[in-house]
Amino acid sequence: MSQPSRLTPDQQQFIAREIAPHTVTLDAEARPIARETLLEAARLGLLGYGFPREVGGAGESLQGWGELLIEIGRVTSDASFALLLSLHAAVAQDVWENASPALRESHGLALIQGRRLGAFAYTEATDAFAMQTSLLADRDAWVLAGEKAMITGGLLADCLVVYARKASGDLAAVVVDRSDPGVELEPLVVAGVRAAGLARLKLHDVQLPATRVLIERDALSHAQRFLNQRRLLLCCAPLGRLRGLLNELVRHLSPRERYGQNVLDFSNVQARLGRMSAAVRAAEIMTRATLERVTRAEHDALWDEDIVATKYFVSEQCQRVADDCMRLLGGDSLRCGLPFERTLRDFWGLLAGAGAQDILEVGLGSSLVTRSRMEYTT
Amino acid sequence: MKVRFSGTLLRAVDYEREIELDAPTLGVAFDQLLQRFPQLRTPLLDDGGAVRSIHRLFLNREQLEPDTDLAAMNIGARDTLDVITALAGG
Repeated sequence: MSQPSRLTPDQQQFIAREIAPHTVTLDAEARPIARETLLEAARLGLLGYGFPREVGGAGESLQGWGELLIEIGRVTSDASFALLLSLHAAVAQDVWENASPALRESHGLALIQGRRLGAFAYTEATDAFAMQTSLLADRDAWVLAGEKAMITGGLLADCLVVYARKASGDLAAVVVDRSDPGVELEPLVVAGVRAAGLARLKLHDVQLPATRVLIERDALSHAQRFLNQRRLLLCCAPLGRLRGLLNELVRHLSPRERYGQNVLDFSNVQARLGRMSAAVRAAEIMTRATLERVTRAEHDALWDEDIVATKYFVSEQCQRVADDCMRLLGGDSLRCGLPFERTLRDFWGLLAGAGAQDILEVGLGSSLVTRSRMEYTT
Repeated sequence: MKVRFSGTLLRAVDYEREIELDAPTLGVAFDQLLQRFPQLRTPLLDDGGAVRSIHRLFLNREQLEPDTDLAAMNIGARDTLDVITALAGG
């Protein structure tokens, strides 16, 4: 029996009216979803589903928020929309929970109520210990300078949480408005999630008052805490998309005949569909189990190996199932306008998002080796 | 005592996977480490001199809680401290 929808009729109509009809065009033109569309999604409660009721959210658990994202991924093939929802919500919650009273007043409340959109500006073309963006004290203010290589939702954001190195070498995080003098956002044209407004950020000696500091000390650990949970929520909409893709594949193949037989009756086609189905089911079971565990707060807040393994596994299944769709569809697989090639490109974003797959492999492997060494040498 | 590093911190200790120290407390052990490997300070410690949360510390296989007073913790010659670091970008 199917589960009742978590989406209200208004939310369903909004997705059908404002998201689905524009997906193909926005992808083709590499144009971000309209900012007003996201603000409307926020007004309909899609952004604040997991926020506390006292700030206008729906008060749902992390698991409930993950389930909603899974459903959104299933009902719309627009991967950018779900990605932006989950990202803006994560940044808003992060600012709300960590801001000083003054920063909450100036930025946190508008973010958590979905009146402004935020983005996470961390990634540089280097490793975490060699970050170049600097935050230097200037009397009772700060000066921010440097460049961030890739920011999801950057083109749509009203403000950004920017990580930068202080003179001491420690990292801090500050909230920067796109309207602050010296802030420059350049569009990035990418292969997948092309409507997610990816941008490069340049910071030309941006002057910030002291009240904009979100995290003053050890923001590296703060970023890892943020990314830890991000990894899990990042998987949810693609997981729903996988289920939707499988249904669309079968529907697309159902009228197709070869050698006087429906292709869905071919044993090799059924075997491949069986492998795809097993991959999707395993990914669903794993993600839901991890969502439950994190909702019960039984996880490591900074680097949880179940979350890492879930993000790694779901992302790999996404690549594999989308690739299998291409193989089963023959020439149709390449047709733009059908969701298959676009979904494959969208899923490529998972290879790097919230920790590149290869880095996650190293992290899991290194932890296994170290724990094993501890067992037999101490 | 022995201190063992893994992952990204190895570079900061010149890839010495296992370091022998003679120290009565963990605080003194960290001081000795930083004297020998000054480049370890920024990746290991924050501005206030606290070990960054991204590093998990295991003393004789027992994970130390984040609020442990490391500086005052007594250690012996046969103790082993493992420092496990895992991080990934955005």
